[in-house]
Amino acid sequence: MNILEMDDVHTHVMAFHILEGVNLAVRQGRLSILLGRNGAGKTTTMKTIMGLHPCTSGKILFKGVPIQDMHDFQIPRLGISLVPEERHVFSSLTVDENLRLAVRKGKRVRQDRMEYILDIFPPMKRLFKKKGKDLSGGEKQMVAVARALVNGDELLIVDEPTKGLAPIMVESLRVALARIKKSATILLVEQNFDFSTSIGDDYFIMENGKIVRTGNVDELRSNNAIQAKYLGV
Amino acid sequence: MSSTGLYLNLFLNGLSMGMLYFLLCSGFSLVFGFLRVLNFAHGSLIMWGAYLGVFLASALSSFSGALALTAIIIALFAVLIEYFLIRRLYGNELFQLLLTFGLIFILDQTIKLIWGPAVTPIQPPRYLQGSLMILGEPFTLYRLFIIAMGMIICTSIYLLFNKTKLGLIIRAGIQSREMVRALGIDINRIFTLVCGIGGALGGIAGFVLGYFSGLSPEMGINQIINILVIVVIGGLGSFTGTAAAAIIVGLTESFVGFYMPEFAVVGIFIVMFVVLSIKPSGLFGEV
Amino acid sequence: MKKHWPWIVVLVSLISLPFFSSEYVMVVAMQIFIWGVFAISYDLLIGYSGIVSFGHAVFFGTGAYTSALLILRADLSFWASLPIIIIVCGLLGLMVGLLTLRFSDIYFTMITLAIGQFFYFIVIKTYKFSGGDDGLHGLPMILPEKIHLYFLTLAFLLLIYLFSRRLIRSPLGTTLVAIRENEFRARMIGYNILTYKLIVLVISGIMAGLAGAMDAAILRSVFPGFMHADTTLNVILMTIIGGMGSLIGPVLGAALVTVGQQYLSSYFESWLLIFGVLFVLIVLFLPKGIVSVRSVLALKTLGGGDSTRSEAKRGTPPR
Repeated sequence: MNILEMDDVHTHVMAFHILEGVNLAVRQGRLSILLGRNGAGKTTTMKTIMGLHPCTSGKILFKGVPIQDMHDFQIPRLGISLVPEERHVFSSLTVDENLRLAVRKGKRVRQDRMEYILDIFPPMKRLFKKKGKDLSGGEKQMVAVARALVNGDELLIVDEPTKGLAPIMVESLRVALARIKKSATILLVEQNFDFSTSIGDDYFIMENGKIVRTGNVDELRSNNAIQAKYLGV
Repeated sequence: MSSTGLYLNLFLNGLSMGMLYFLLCSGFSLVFGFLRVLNFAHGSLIMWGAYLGVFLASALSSFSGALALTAIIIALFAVLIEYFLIRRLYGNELFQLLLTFGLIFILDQTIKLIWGPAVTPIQPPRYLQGSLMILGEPFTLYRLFIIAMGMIICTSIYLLFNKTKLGLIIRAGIQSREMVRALGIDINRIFTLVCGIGGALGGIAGFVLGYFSGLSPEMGINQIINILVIVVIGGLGSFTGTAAAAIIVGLTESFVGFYMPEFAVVGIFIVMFVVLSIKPSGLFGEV
Repeated sequence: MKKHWPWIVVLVSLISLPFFSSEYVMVVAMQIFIWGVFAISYDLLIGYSGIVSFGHAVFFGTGAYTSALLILRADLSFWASLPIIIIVCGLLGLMVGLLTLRFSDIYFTMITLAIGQFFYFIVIKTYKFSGGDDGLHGLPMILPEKIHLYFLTLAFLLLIYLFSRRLIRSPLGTTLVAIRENEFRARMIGYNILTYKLIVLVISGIMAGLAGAMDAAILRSVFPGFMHADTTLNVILMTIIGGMGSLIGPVLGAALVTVGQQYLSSYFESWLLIFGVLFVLIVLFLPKGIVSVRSVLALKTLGGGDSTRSEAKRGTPPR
């Protein structure tokens, strides 16, 4: 079942035609990776799904429900969480407060969700009272992902999580995402080819605001020709 | 005459002035920090709080009742202004500024129309008149009341910011409105709420001010100037900065007013120039 | 030639005005001319350079007080005082600019307000020097007849208007507009933003100072109100209602507000309230002021573009 579908989506940002008819379908329970060179339109795609950029035409369906005309704050309530490229962990709030802010139903993070989060990210245990601005880059990334898990959302959209992270952090992030994908669908935008293909199931390659190729990640990993054509310099 | 008594008196006077300034600035600073809207009409809202408050107090024969009612009414003013006027101009900071600026004319002139241009001194209720003797120096009861009000409001705001979900949203929203929306929170509704709180704070401040310095149609403009200077000293966007600056300015005015009375009026500006030349972004400001 | 005829009509009527109207009308007209100059000087800042100053009265007041003091205390003639005013206001502009332009927009606005009020308080407190609350009075008539003053102020307005037009079209002017549109990009291209803003502030300050001096000469008095925030508020009112960024708009605004002040105040106690409402309406619905009415109507009748989905959604949310 396709949890997310984009049907001929066009987006203009100011005068620029960024997305020129994006067609993609994210299958539920799989980790889909969105690849492409810089400027291809990957982040704009993420933002369009989340309603942060209104699309000029086309349809976006979440579990069969059209969401392209919804306000940006209504979309997360449907069960979609964003882990943004810049993380946006609130620096004057503690980690605990950052998580609590994300809670949509109720005042605190549900006990079972908290256990799940601590299971995925054990180091979080000692970070609760730390303020966002006192976190290292890796810790911020961890909190940003943890925040997206707070409500048990079915779809996670993760934008360039390994950016600026030390290799050891990248590895623990990889392990975390591999575990998270067992209970949620993930749409991942990531420049790091090895990282994304090691955990990805399906891939989409984006070029000039369009999806130009899609398929199974196993096929992509071994196919140097495709890699060179779409992702090479 | 003991000089400790004198210093204490000057200190307490300064503290009460500082608390009054804090009350006056709090609504403005909150709205600016969260909405990034410079509400030039805040002084006029304060003035409305004063005039309305005094009027209600005699109509209802109740000081505290009038205080509460004034806060609610001015909060409503602010909500209406945000919802019908400011909201139309989101994204355009210059015009938001000009809008609130235009509101000054409307609010101030309406007061002149209703209550006339005269300056009227107002007496606080009997139980707040008179003074205490502290170490041989008189300290008016009303100033004590101001300090108490200041602390109550300060504590309430602290509790709101740090112990409620709304406060969480406000603190986060000050940093990144987009991310708050990305978490599924309708921040526009919160804007309206915060404007309401700002209005209520302004109403309360005006009420307290009215009984302190009397009513005058110049009040609005005079206060907004004070507010702007204090907020600049404290650092734009920092609520703690505003609070600190308010106290500092109050204390400075008290001591300067005693030792160098000719400079009293410009004391506030001197503090601003001094602070800005050392730290251009203000005490707690982050540029 | 054809498109200039409205201007010619206006010019001719202005020139012939004193010959078929009362002295009162002439006096009001003079106020309009002077405040028109003041408003043009403000438009150079807010309309063309994106500089929002709330302390502009400081130049108007300084020009007025300097002129009055030189005439009364140093026995100079009005004409001899003019170059000194230019220098004094120029230096003031330089000083204020160096002090404040480094701050970002909002800070700048607030600090200019504070500086303006600071100067006001200084004037009030120095009775011996500036006459304190009473101001300075008894300035001599600088020309034998009122009608001469009329033509002097008219010429003043025309001169300043033409100068400003040239300024806007000059490289300096276009650079300022570029800075206003996108300061970041302008800086990336290599323009020294501060220098340009400083130049326009100095020019604007000198214009405003001359307007103040002129006002003092006409009224034959100077009041501390010249320095007060109210004066700044008035000129902002005029510039915005008339139409910022158009040079002629502010003059129109000056006319409207002055006429309103003179005539409406006898009928309505709160003519200023009416103008406040007008101001708010213009800010909300007609941002380019009254001068833009014609072009706005033209756009609407030609058929405003069909709203894209993004506009139909809701008002653009804040950043």
